Amino acid sequence: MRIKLKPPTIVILIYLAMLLAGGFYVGLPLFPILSESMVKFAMNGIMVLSLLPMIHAGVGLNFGMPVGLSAALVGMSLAIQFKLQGGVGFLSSLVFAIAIAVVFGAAYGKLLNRLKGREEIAGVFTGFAFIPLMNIFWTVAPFTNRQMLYPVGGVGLRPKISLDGYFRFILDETLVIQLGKISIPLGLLLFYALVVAVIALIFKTQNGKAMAALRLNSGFARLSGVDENRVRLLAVILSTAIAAVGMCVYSQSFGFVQLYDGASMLTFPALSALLIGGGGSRQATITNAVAGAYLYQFVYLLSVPVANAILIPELAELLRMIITNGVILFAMLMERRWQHA
Amino acid sequence: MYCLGLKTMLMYYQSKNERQMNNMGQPIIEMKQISKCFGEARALDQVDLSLWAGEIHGLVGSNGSGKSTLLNILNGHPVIAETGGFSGEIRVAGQTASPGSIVEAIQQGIGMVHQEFALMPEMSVKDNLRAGYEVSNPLIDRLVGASFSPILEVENRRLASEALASLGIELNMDEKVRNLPVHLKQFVEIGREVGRDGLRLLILDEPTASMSQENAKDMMEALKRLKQKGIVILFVSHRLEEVVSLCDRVTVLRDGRVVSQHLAPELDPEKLALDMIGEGVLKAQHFREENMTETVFLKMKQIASRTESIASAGISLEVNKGEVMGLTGLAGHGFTMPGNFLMGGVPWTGEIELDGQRLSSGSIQEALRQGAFMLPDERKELGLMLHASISENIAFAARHNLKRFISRLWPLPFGLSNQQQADAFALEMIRALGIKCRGPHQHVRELSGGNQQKVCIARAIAMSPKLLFVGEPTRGMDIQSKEMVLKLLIEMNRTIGTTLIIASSELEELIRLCDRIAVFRDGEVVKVFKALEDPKQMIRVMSGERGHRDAH
Repeated sequence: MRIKLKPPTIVILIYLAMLLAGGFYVGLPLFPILSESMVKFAMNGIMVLSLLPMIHAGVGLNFGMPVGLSAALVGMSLAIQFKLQGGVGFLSSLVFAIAIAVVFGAAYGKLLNRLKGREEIAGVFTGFAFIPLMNIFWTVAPFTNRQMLYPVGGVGLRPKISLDGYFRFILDETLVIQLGKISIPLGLLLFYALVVAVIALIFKTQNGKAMAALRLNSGFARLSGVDENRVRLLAVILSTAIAAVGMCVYSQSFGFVQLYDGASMLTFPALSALLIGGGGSRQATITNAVAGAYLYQFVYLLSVPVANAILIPELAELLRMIITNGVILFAMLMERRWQHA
Repeated sequence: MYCLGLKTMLMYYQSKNERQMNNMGQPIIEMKQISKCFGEARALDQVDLSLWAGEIHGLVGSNGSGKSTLLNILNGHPVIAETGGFSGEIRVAGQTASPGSIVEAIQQGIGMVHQEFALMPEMSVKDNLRAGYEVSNPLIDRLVGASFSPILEVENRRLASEALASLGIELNMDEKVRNLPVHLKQFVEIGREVGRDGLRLLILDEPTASMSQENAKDMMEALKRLKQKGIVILFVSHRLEEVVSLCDRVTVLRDGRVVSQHLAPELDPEKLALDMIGEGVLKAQHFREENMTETVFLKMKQIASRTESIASAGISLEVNKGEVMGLTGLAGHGFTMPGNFLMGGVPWTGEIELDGQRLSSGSIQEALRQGAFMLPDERKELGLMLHASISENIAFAARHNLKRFISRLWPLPFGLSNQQQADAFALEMIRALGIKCRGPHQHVRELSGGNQQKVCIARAIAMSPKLLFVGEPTRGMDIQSKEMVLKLLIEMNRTIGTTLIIASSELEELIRLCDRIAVFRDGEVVKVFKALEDPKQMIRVMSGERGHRDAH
């Protein structure tokens, strides 16, 4: 099979080659970075995977990912409130998060069904509107666990709730294998693989096939008996729920539950990663999502020490922002060109 | 023999026309040997057409006869250049000219009014009438250029009302176009073209399509006034009665060729319809044995669209179990609508009963559950997923509705699509129907039109429907593929007893296949014929002979 690389992938590969050359020049230790990259990949990768159901059904890129992420934040907060620790804590976080994501996703999906053809811009605004709404919730929600509340005053949730003593690193530290100087977080990777398997299976069901048909030719799908709104709603709920799972995994790796504006920082990198992996808003495969997530995280990890050593320290973050947002813009440009072709 | 006869007839007509037209002056527009291909498909084949000053020229032909392509060439539509241009010569007032863009066409005095309105609904009648060529202050024009110069309100208002007056109507110039009824919007469109200096040719594409008969009469009066001003009008319409009453000369296109030209006062709707359909219809033989039972399988009573702006008395139709029913009419008369009502999600009012069960409006799923299936006439747009494999196209509807090609994988609570089963079935279909391809995984968009239609039929076979609607089953195919497709449809009827409803403009094919043929006009069933009845009679009804309002 011939592999055709899209421009975003080519740009990032060139950048990666430059970073690797720079890394060798400054004598950067590569093995710790490789180990770290696997954690970062799985930690962020599920959010990238969460984009797939909506793209699969032709709804486009999920710019409204904060909806799913917020559902996870509520889910984890509930687990902490009930003082559920360790594996039980993480599992119940997942269950709460998914349940809330289904409700949020249904509302979000109904909104997108009324805005067919403008889902992406609607998603951006849903995301931006949803976060302040949740901010109000965080300040007034009746949580009582002292570890969650502002230390002074004791009212409202604090911006960063530590997961220490709850389920911090629960996946990261499960089944870690040492291969020479590289450590492989097998537990985390297996969980990631499980999510991949679930998505692959869903795509093979009758509903999964109906989603693909809607993307390829919605008129055909309708005449063949597909209930367009129902299947699209299903795709949005799935994307939202998987994003929620992704947020739970991210938080256990990060060690904190980051409330308030934290959720807004994660959407664009996930979208960008998928596009770097060769996906687009009309077509993206699981391979695109996996490859993109790894490339994006590896490049980011590498660029910080290299830029610090060779150039000015802040440059790495600036470059990351330029690449993240530039790639999204580029993908939109390409989309326009395909539409007019 | 037939070809030779046609050619002689044409030459006769042309020379007769030339003689008569020479008395009217020089041709304003001359199109010579115009040919145009879209990829491999030939849309126009050596078309000659001359238009004289002060003439209203009718252009008729069924869908796909090449009318739109011809109009696009005349009007400099960019689609022509984008698809490789055309061959042949166009002369405007004796000068060689071939408009490369709409602006060039306007400069050469060619104006066109499209079927869909190109108006600015939020602007006033006056602004719409003068849009793009407003008169501005000549002094300031010189200083800052016409595009930055202030517009002369009074002068423009005067010119706008003059343009409308030349059509014989008066309107409030400040009214927003959005508030005007449909027929007045059409007048504003025409007024805009007429108001331009140097208009020589006005092309009207179905100007009366959305009008009542009364409004259409006003429109025709207006066109007659324009004719007296020396403007040539190219009038494209499916309403043959209007064409006959209005035009001085009518050209009939079929399969991209000029098949005949008719002169007033010898215009006859029936002759025009016969030319549009083709003489072959008179020789068609019915060849199949009846498979029809007495049980009514589909009953439509007074079905009309909820959204359509034209009021129609509604379609009433009964189809028996095992029957092959043909639906036909001239293009634009709504004979594909029953399929769209039953299976296309178009909301309707009235009553539909399928296999004894009442259906509710707009529900495709309900009709599918009752065993109906549709292969729409827009094959590429609605009938296929062009960017998916043959196997996926064939399996999709059956998997979605009948749970075929699905298997359970323990311990999952849901079924998964079984690719092997789908591929095996697709392979079986590829062999049985003779689909020319590399295998079940080839994308459908790479197949020829005929093979794509066979994939559609394979989709229907996978569904084994009790009732199958097929829209234009043979459109755009070569003769061999046509025969194959028709044979396959009849096979379905014979072996699994599928009741077939075929909506087609190919009357000849319908006569050969169908038990009965329902003829449509103006969105209604005017008469249902037995297949063996006189085809001339069918054409007469199609082309507008009144007095046939027998629904069954």
